[in-house]
Amino acid sequence: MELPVKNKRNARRVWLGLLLWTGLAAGLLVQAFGPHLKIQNNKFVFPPSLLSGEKEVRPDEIVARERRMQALSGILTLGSGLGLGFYYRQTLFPKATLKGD
Amino acid sequence: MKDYKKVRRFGSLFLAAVVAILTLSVMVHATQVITTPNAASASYSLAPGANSANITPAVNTPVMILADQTGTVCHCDNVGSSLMTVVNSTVDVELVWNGFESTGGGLTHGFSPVAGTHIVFTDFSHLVDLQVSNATSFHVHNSSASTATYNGNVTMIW
Repeated sequence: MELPVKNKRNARRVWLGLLLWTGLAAGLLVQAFGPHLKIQNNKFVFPPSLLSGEKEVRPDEIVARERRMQALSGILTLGSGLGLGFYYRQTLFPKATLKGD
Repeated sequence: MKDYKKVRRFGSLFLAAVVAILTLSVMVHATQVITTPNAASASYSLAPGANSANITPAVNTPVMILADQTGTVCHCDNVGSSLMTVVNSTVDVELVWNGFESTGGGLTHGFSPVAGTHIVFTDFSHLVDLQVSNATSFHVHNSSASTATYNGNVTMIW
């Protein structure tokens, strides 16, 4: 009866690892493909093409969207990074874990 | 076997370092974006008679606008700056503004939803100004008759 329980635990552990790596990848992807506004002198700088185009410019919405994307990326990356550190604690700090055990 | 263990340990530490560096760089950038105040700057480059894209300020919030002409393309002494606040009012359904014209032009104030209404000059010679585009937005207009392209910036703080 002990074997299926162990398998179940292992499967859960594998899924947790996959979830953490996926979270990290998602955070990095949001960071890579999100809108990148330059920040200069403590203010956002829009590219010159924005005012020369025909499209209406809404600065408050552009900045709010940038903030949302960065917050999402930060939460995903930091959460997954810390989670991965904890997940691989035995590999990263083998002696410390043995002492704890 | 010992070498394999060493390589494996080095590999996992290297991967951990990569993850840590990536996480830190994302966090630094995210923190910088989140803590930057609600201020944005856009530059324009306008040929004679041209308009910039329409700019819609935040709704029902006084938005401070600092517009300045840098005059780098015309190579002429045409640098100017102006300061004003504008409200994109959904109550009045029009733009409402107060401020200072460039180069000793005095005060400017008004309220209008009518396209082409003058709001404020931004340059030295009073040839480039902000104008009402519609009830919710404004644009930069170059009314110069010369062939020079005028450059400048519009900074908004809300």
